[in-house]
Amino acid sequence: MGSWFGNLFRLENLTRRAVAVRKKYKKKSARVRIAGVIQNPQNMRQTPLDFECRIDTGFDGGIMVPHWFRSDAQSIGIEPSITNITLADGSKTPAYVCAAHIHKINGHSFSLPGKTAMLVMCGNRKGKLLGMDALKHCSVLFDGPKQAFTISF
Amino acid sequence: MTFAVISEVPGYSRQAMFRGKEEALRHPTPALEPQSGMISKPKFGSSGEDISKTEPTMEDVPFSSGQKLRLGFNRPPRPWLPPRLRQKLDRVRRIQPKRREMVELIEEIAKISADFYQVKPGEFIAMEFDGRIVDSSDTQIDLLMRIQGKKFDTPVIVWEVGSETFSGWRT
Repeated sequence: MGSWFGNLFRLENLTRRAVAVRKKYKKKSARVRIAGVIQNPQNMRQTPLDFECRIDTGFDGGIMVPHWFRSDAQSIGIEPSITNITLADGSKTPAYVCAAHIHKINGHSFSLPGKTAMLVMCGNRKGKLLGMDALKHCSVLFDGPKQAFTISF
Repeated sequence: MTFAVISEVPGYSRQAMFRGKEEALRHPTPALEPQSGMISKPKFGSSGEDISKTEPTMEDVPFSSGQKLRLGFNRPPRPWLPPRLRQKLDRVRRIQPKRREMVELIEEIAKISADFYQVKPGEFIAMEFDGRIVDSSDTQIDLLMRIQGKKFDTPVIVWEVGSETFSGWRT
């Protein structure tokens, strides 16, 4: 098998994990579509999360979204907590955080209540990031020359 | 029978103290300054695509109108905080602080609170703006799940004891 899938398959055998996501880079970066919810455990109300985000291995949080997601959380009775986070340039900034449940990453479903990850609400850019906290307990294999990646659980 | 007259200590007038307190109560809860926009800082030179768009590198400019940190407390902070911090909190309530001021305020409250309660480094704590710890945990997620949806008097600060920030790009 001479395709890039074949090369990845051989590497995946080393990790002995089931490949959940196998994708080519989109817009020169590894992007996945995630679906999940922010849930209020007090009244069980939920607000959905469904967007495409870029995998960022330098970010140790779960999911980074723009600040306007805070109003989504507030709509179900969650007041996100305030904290300081470190930005890519090393500076610190206040941000809002809450917990979210990821139900699906690119078609791979997690058993309920889903994979719990920290949702960081900061900045006003539309781009979203998927950090290492959301990708722990899985292996992500990047194939730069082939412009492809796999996520195994 | 003897009578003693206790004179008022100069500089510590009770009236002046109450006046300041009433003034603080009269002001409505302010919002912090709007958050800055991000500056372009490409991570990988080879990529012509807009990687910088998602990189949260920000200048220290006021918060944008869409991102307000609303401090919901109506009373001045509790008296066990140092006077310097109380002044800062009162100032934050009245005027819109810059992003850097907010970062410093959170840091100071977290450090004082962690020292006061003697929390071990590595633990994650949730505290109110008066420094009172409302919950603690060994992991970030567990802490966030515990406090999620609960009502508190003031907004809650989450913090990792012994660390400078709660999350982000750590080198």
